[in-house]
Amino acid sequence: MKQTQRLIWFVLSTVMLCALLGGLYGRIVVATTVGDDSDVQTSFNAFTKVYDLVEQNYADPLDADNAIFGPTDTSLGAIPGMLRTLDPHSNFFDPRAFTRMREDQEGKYFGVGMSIRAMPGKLGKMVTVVVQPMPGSPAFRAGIHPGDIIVSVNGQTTDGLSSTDVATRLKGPKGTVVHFAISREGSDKPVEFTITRDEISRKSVDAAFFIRPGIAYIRILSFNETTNDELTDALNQLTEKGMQGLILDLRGNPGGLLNEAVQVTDHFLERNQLIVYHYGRRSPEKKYVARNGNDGNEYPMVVLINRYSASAAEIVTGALQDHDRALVMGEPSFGKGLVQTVMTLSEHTALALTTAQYYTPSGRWIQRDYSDVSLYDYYYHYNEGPADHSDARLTDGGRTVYGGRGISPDLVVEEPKYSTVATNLAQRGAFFDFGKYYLGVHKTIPEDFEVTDAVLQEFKHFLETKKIQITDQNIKDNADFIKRHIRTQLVLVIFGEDKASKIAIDNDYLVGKALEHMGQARDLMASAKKYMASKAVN
Amino acid sequence: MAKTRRLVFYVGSTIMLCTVLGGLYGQQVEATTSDTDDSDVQKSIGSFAKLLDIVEQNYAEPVDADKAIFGSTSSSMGAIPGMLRTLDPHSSFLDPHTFEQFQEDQEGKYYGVGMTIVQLPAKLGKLVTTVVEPMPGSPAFRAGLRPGDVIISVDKKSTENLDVPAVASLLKGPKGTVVHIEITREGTEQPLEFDVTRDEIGGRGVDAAFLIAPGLAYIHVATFNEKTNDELVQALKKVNEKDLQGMIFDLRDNRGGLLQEAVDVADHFLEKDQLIVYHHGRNSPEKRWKAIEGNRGNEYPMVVLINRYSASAAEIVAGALQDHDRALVMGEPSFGKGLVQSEYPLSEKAFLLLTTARYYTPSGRLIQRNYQDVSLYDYLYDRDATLLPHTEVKHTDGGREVYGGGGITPDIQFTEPKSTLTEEMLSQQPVFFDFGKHYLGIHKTIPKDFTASPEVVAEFKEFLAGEKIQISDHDFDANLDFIKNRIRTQLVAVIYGESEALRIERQNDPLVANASGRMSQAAQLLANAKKYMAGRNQAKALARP
Repeated sequence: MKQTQRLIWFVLSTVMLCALLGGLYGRIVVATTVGDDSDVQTSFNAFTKVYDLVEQNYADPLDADNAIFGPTDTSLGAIPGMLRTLDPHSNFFDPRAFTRMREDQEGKYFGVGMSIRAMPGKLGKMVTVVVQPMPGSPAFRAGIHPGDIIVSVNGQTTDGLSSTDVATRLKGPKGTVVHFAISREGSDKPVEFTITRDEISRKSVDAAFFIRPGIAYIRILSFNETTNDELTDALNQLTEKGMQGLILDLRGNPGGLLNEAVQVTDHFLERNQLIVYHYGRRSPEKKYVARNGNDGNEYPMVVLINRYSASAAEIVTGALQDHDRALVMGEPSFGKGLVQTVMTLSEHTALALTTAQYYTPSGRWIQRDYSDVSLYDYYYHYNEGPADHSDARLTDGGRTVYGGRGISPDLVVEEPKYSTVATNLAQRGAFFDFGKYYLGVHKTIPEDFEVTDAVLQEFKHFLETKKIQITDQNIKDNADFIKRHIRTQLVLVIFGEDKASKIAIDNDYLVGKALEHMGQARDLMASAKKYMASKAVN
Repeated sequence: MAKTRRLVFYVGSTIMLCTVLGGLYGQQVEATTSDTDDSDVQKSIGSFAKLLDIVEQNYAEPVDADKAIFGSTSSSMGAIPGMLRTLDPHSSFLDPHTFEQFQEDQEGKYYGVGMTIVQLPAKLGKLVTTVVEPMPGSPAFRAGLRPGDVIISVDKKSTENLDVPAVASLLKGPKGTVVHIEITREGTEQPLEFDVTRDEIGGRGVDAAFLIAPGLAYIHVATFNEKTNDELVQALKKVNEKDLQGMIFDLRDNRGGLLQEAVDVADHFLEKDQLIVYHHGRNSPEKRWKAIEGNRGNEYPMVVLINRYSASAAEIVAGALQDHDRALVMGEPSFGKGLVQSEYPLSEKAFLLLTTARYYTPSGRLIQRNYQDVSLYDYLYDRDATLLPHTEVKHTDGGREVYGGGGITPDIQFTEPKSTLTEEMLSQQPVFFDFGKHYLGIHKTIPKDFTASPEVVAEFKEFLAGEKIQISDHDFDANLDFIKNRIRTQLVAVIYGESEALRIERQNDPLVANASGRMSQAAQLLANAKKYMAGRNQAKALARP
């Protein structure tokens, strides 16, 4: 029986994956009847009996597929119901979820290449709006603009469809065509497009540049099949230009492939240092060590994490923290220490089953408690109450670190909270809409564009026409925020995503803090080496 | 295979049931393996087996097979609950603990001492188990237990840190056995001890039946259990049915129960052979239920009261009486449950409740509310979010329009007035209960015609101050009627019993008061329907060649 098996990390609604690990899980047995474990046999018989009663007596015809596999995107059905009794990360993937997972794993899909989102339209109804066509993509070449509203796809209206539904319709096999109509400010009639679908790749290393002379900034969004290749390219370029320090941003990174996390960490550690190890009831212990190592590149590093940094991101952070290689800053991370293996069940469905637990080099298990916790509380109400410090471990440098609830940063830094006015403006898409309006009037902006008071006045007038109430005082109090967002939006449209995200990163509070602490990161590594040397002598 | 099959109605967290219908579901087959040749079904069960096997062999920790299949008491997870939740909100699986409660509710009886208990905060803020009321005539009542007694131990086991169900299960036991109860009572220094012999206790289906005015009966049916119809027969005797000028039949907060009992109850009020309800499902042939005995000419006007919690069996009764124009229906639209469950024993103590049919009122209405794409929570608790516009229109005997698809719509809508903030605040705490104990500790008793005089109200105000409960004079005066009524009912309950207190409470109930004035309208409704039908029959007769 040929079966593809994959080891995955899966957190939140993003679905992540890992490398092929053929042979590692050789003991997996697949059968169409259950094994000879009598408890399981008894329970299975009970299930069959109930299923039979339902099939024969239910008031309506039974939808067998629904009953066993559950409706799409719910945790109902026999299989999802059973998996929910195990842990929050064992999951069943129906064909739709499976496709999404594969796209996330591969970091590519077939489509037209534009990001879309739902926004409130003129009549208060939600509409699907193009945020940005990706440079060089079929959508970009066809002349799709940010702000275009997608009114139909292949002759079917997008009314009442979620942006996920619209995205699904835009995707399709490579080389096939998709017709869609958009409405655009300034043209009366919908504009029709016919676009040939192509392979669209999504970068997982979406930013890598010098944020200060000699100090590089790299952001990893997730760990998919191309992450290490992307990182290797980025590091080569930056090293060539004389990198002397690095900020590695893993905020919002929900994880992904174990193998990629291991390879990413490998770049920064010394050869043969332990990165991570895992084992489970039927999964023998497996240790991952740095194979290539850092080649003596020992520039200081700061790693940034937040509550959404999970699994593979926590492996990288945990390893760099345990070896005192990097100073970790930000919020405590999510806390996912379970390993899933993905088993393909049929052509389009799969099971992600927790088969092992992983541990950081110091022996920490960072999984958050999930017993007697609802799925909702597990994902949204974490890190409440006092931390359990029963699992204390030591880093190479002799500092104490704790297991049990994610990675605790060496320096806890909270993100600044924005005012209600500011968040409201962003949520209502005010900057996005203003960008369309402004460029309609002024056509373009220079590369060194700054938001002057005159532009702020224009913004205020624009809000008035949109019936969004805002006082001069509101604008004054939030001037920095408003200016930055207007600038970012205009730069995004005229100069593209890279330039825009650079502005956002330049202004990021935590990145600023990281720059201040580069010296401390250097001291950390130095004192760890000293400590280890003294231990070795004694 | 000798198996008891029951047809049940089940809503919300209260568990309801029905009667034995041996043989009705002859088509049902039970087997331990899937013996159907439906290939879809075979394939699905095969997929499940395969998956279970993978999990059993590879999961990171040992697999609790029982939990994986049946789920745990605290959650709706597990293979069987997960599968049932794809069907409808009323198909469910009962674990042993829920099953016990379910059986007690069905039978309307259990073995115990017969008192309602509750957990209340005591002087030190600690929760204590307190007697709300010993049921009249029960072993607890005869032994002399009183409302307000604090239970400190049962059979020498301290009740400290035990919740209500835990204390209740200590009090229950086989008939004829003795339970030792230790209590403290206000005004008594030493704990008092009682030896009480357990007996059969009836959970009441008909919990109120009295004349609310001369010739006007008030009957409240709380649930439809195995004794409900017997209790109704007794209640009708008690109120002298033959001499009645009218009846208020209250089905508010009645979440349903046994189909057979609902049919028997409706039978008393309809003419012989009138249709009460019918039901059918994919593998459940149509079954029609008619009035067998009939009302024997008792045609006093009736008003039926319903609210959003009136469900299933209660809706069958209200629907039948509405469709035959036998009663004027008042209150809020009812819950809207039109599905019938059958009960299947799986093992000694686990049961499957499976929806096997839908029922229809005599006019042909299906009153089931929409449950597609609605969360279980919204379905059960946020009814307004799930109500759809009336899609199905049917006609009563008298030719009036009635609607399917969203419960029984009352002929006269009446929304209960919302309680004021002060009322809510006072009701959340055991203020009246405590004041009752305090007052009777001083005054020992009250006369039967007691009302809360200004002196009593002043005493209550002083008591509130002592308890550090702050109410402004303005709020106090604005809620004076409420306060006086609650003091009165509380004291009457302790001295003259719960049923006397209930009568006073219902006399003060705005919907009951409104219904009392509508007897002639109800009489007119029935008269019109008879005239309309007579006219129709005549027309039919004339049309014949």
